[in-house]
Amino acid sequence: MRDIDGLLRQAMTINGARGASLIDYTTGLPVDTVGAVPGNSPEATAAGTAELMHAMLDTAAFASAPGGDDLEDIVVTAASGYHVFHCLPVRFDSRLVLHLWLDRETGNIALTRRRLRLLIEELVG
Amino acid sequence: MGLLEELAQLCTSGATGAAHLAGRPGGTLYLVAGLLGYATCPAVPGVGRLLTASGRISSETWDAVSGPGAAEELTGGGHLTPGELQLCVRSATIDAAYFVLGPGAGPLGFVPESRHPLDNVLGTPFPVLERELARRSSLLAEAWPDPAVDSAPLVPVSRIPHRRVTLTDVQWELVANADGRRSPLDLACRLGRSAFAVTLDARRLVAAGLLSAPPRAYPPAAPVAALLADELPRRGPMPGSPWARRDVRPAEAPSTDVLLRVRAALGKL
Repeated sequence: MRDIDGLLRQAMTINGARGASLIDYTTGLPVDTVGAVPGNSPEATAAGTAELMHAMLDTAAFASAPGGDDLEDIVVTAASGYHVFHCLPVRFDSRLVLHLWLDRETGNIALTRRRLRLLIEELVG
Repeated sequence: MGLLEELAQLCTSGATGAAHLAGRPGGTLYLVAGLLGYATCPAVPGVGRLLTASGRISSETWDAVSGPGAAEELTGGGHLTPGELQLCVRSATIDAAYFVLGPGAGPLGFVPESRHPLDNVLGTPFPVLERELARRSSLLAEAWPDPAVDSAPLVPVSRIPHRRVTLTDVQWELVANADGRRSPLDLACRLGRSAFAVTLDARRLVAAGLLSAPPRAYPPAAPVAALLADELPRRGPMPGSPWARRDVRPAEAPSTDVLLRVRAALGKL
């Protein structure tokens, strides 16, 4: 289960999960997707995710907090759902983020963030 | 037929083998059952360089496993998780393919059944590759329109045009390592970073006025005799015909300074 597909399938077992995708935000490349994608367009979602990540990382106040701090995730709340963007702390050069789309009624942000962190730790070794 | 069409045809036919591309920088694309399994390019850091430069695995480990069966040895031996290997192969493959299929690419020679030890980790379908190549080209053009900086030995400017700047990790490494001798691609190999990511950030730093390229070395001026000969009635093709000599005047190419001023002015609109 420690491959990309395993990670996404495990992420889909989180309560309220509607879709999970792995995105390379260097360019907005959808690496892999399981389940539903907002607007039914993995390409557009990946492009939007890349812009979101760059907006966050290019802003000094969020990106360079003191003491070995680093961006871990971004949570976006919409009327109908949550979007959790969890960075993959891969050791070799990469800019990857896991996007989990959650149903607002059945999803739980705190539990989801915890599960995602554990799943990702398992993948990145 | 264009290179991409030729490649698309090989993929559609479900080909397995190595597509060797001549030209600059040149390289090889390994197809497995119509998917792009791996790509190598001498100017781009491969999986081994990415993994060892980051300290994820040691050079000794990489040297010991890089033969046939490398994928199984890397994951089975506990050096990498299968997911890490997939991500690294995908990233290095698209990175190499982008430069191999760049504007300097020469003709393609296909050797059926020729394989690479890492070509079976995670294949990329051709349409995905094609869209990604287009995305990369437009990101580079958006960042800074002049491709000459990609192969130019960049230097940090001595005084920056801002009071404060924010840099990403790759940008910091570029500024810290740009020494007026190495191009962004050289720096990517040295730092073990994605060649495309380094190229893109180098263009962004040039656009921001933080890195500069030394003035471009234009070809020496034509000798006077050649200029005089040009004044004589030509016996060559009629002017305006497709074979007429193109009048290239590199001295009129816009300087980085002019481009920066135009860009700043456009930004204010």
